[in-house]
Amino acid sequence: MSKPKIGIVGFTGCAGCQLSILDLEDELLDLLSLVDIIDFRMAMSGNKKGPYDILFVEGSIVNTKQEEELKELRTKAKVLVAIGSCACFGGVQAIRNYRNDRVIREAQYGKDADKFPVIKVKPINKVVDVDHYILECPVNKYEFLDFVKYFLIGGKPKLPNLPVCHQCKAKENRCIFLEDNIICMGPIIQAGCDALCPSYGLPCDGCRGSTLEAAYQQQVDLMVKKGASVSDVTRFLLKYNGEDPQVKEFLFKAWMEHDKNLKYGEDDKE
Amino acid sequence: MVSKLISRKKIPELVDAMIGDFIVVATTNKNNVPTLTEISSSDEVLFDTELPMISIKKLFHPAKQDLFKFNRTTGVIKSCLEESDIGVEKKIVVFGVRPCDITGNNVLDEIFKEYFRDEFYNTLRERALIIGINCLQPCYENCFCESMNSNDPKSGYDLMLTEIAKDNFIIVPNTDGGKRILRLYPDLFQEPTDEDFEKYVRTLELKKNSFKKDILVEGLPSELEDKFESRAWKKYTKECLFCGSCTFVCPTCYCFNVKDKISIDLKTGIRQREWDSCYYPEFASVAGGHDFRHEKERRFRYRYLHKFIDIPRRYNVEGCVGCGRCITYCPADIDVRDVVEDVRGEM
Repeated sequence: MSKPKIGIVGFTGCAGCQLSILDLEDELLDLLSLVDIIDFRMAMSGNKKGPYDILFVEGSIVNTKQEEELKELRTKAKVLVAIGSCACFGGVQAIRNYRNDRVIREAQYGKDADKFPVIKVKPINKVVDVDHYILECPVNKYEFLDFVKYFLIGGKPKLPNLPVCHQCKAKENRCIFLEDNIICMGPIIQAGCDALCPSYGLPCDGCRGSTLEAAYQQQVDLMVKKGASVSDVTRFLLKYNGEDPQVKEFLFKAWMEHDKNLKYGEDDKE
Repeated sequence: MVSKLISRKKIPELVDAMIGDFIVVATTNKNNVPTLTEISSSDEVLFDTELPMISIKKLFHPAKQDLFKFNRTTGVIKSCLEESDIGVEKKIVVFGVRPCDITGNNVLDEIFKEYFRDEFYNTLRERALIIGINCLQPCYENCFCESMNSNDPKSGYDLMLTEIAKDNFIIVPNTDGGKRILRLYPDLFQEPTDEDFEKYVRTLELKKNSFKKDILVEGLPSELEDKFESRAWKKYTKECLFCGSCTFVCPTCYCFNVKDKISIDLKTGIRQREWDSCYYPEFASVAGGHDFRHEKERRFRYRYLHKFIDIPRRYNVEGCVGCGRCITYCPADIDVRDVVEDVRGEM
């Protein structure tokens, strides 16, 4: 069997996921003995635009040109994988979907705002079919590697579907939410990061998206009970996951109910 | 009589002496939370502290454990027990274990030793000596060990320290391993006098009066069985975050999930197990995709029914030991006593 051809491409995002893959220093040479990387602009020259056996896509889609480009790439890829929060849930830039995008563009480009037409920020599954998701911001390099390994032996890794509290308790971390009154999204966010932030005394930011059947309302009620405002908590949820369908539904409702002064989702026309 | 007397100021000396001969595990302030860890000096030990966050179960049933290595092409498997340091001669001494944790571990012993013999658990368990410390009064407001009959275990420990009077402890061996420790350090112990024994008996009498029962477990299994569709389950389901913290800090929760990790050569791999929680969505899903507890309410109820009905009926021990950890570490402030009473109280 010839080695599968792999592409790693990026749309709007910080390119941190691509960097994370390059950061697989101990495994990179072994990886290259298993696959042919034919398209990886961040790392090499002489890139070929397909056909790919697996195409990893980083970043979210913010304008029509990118939409066309992604659709074109999809036709050349047997398997398409979304990597990182932007490609999976819209990422940080999806906050724009909850604001007036004209105001945002004018803040950046002034009078030239019209020269930069945008659409609502989309995770890539709103444009093309996605076969698998690899989470985290930036993408978890070991989960990336696991996906490649599983693909080669003919399978797919499973999302852990556990909340961050699972790994936090297993590591016997101090619970910063209970002990120090810090807003932490651990109870409703997908684990897999080995509770990285809470292990260093920082709250979980929610970069891996919400876990299956996450208890948003309970989470918000609790944080409010501890002294946070509803907009504080929802802002936390929005940070990476603006376009996570589960979170989105909840966020809109929460914001509409609790904070009528903030005109979120004003430009809600697709 | 093999019991000995030891003064309070000699206890750190005992710990330090044991460090030379054993691997000593005690409660320390690692990560700014009471944690059981291997220690290298008695200075690290928190002597008069409440319970460690995770009970001694983690020493015998770790959060993550390698089971065996496999080769996909040759089909050869090799147990990780053979190549780890588990087989080394040095025994582990766990110092300062509270009665509720000893009782909790007796539940795990029952399950992993008697009901189903788990080599991984037993290899670690047989290597450990447990030095308990008697609680003479409830250690904090969430403790309800008396209700669960767990503050006076008859087995599951090797030595038990009981403070009989100001700064003096009676140390009672319960196994040959315990007697061996007493013999190893004769200079640290004194022979107790008749008066000391009287004090010891009196202390144990006083202990009985210091605890009160928060909930009555007599008849609880059948009562809960009759309240299967109680509205109280719904009420608490709405408060619960399903983060699973209570199951990890629980000394008698033992559920685990098994996963394979493939190496980069695609031929070899390792099978691991890690703690799992019945509060998680896919916990009860089986091959073919059916999930026996697909609703949150069922998952919430299940844990209580398992603790208060299944374990007592199947193993004839209480499934809950009343240590109160699940109350302390619940982000949603759910109190197991309230849940049981609410369900019970409903007509």
